[in-house]
Amino acid sequence: MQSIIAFALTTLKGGVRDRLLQGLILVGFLLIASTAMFSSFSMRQPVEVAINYGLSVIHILSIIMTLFFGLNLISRELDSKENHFILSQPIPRSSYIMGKYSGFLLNIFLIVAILGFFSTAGLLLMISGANNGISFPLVKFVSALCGIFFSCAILGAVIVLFTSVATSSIFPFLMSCAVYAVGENTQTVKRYLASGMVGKDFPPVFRVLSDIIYYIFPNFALFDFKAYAIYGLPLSGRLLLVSAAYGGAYAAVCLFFAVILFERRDI
Amino acid sequence: MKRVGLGILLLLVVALTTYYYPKIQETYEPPLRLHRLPPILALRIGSFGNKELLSALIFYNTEFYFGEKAGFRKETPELKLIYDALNKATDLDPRNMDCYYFAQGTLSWIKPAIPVLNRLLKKGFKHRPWDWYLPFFIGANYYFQLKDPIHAAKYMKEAARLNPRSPLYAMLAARMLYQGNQTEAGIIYLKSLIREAANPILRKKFEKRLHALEAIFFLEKGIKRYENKFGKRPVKIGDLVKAGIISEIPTDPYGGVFYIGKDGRVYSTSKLAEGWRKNGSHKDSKIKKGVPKRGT
Repeated sequence: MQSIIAFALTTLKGGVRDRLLQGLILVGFLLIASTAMFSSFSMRQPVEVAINYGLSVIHILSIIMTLFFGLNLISRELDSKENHFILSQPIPRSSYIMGKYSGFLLNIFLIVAILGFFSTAGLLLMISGANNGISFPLVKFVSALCGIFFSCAILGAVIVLFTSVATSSIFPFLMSCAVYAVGENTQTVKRYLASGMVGKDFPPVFRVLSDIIYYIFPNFALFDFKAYAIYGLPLSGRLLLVSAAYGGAYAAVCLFFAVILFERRDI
Repeated sequence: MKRVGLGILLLLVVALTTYYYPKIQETYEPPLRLHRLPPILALRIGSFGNKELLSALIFYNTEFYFGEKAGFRKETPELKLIYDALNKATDLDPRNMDCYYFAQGTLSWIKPAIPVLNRLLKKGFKHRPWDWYLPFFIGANYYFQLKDPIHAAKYMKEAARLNPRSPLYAMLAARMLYQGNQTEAGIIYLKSLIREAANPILRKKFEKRLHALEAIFFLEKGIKRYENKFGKRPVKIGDLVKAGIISEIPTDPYGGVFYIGKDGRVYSTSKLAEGWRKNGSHKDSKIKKGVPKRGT
């Protein structure tokens, strides 16, 4: 456990020092600062548009940072053989993987929390300036941020899984991008096919294939709580719990296989 | 020193071209078009989990297109394509109120567009059951364009229920249900729209129509007074001036000429309406022969 904490803290420190991370956070601040201008073009719902914009910016930046940061987590060390010394020590490789992943989670949490804090501050300023009696749905906004964090946590676990078998950093990057693109849209495609909008001549094999993909790939749409925060819709605690359980279980399965594959790997 | 001179020279060139290029650009640029969007499934997939943001961006693109086309270039916007964009934006985010408001502001004056416009607004009302604006718009469209007071009153009552602080909607519902004065109801409706309109182009449109309706209302009151005085209906609007009932005939802001219809009501040759074509292009109101219908 101590080695896991040590790896996690080292990863966290490395992440904070990373220039890419600092650059992206700066871009995030600029985008959030532009929230008021973006929403000013709205005719009837500037506050809703501002929340929409803030959450979407945080979502896009968090996913980009997850991809780049997750890739640097193990792949870069393997490429540069930096971790060969550590792995030759009597430390279980599972501790290495779990420690690195924990450090990654801390970094992503930090990014989402910082961007969320600035976005909330900007929105509160905007709402108090408008003075039209609209209240800021803070709990739903935080729930939407949790959803973004869970999406990143799953994507990070998928990157670790691919990194544990790959010999170069390109393969896990491309595969993780593909998993994210598919996972973000499996629900849309499944519901489209179920809606009866496709004709009878649609090949049944594709229908079966889309079902298989839906159950194998992570369903990132489950963690999309943005609409609840934007329009102040009632958000069920049960839905949040089920999403968290699904996300936690999916990430755990990925890490489980990542540890097994990494232990068998010849470094 | 040479470098400083070169730097200043380059800055001057940039400043000059920045000053001149808008004029040259405006002379040579092609007609502004609103491009048809990809199918909704492609848009959903392409949004990568940010459907609401993509919906807002599509709305902004449509709003900026309308602003540049109608406000800057003084050309007629392609209303069919505006509807297509707003429909897809609300498929992505069915709660995007900006789209419904903009659709009502731009399309509700065109009678052939009303069935699709009401379908769009009903989609909005399904997803925003707390919003009184949507039943208010649907009711107005049923009453003024589709001449269906039963459905109009049903939706206006919904608007009154959702916004109990304002007595206006209940009053409108009552007028619609009892087939009251259409022109007066139209004036009340437009005044409520102007009060809430933040967009200057839409506000101008509403005000233009309000002026037209106020002119019609003024003439209709004059006809009543003429009937009371002479016991018969005037043949032409000019008879009101000749009889000293009114001092002058008000002008139609749409460029038409007011006349008295067979039913004794006042109409304009401009129809107070704008065109809606299947191919997506738009036709300005033109003076035509025949009996024109009056829009609100």
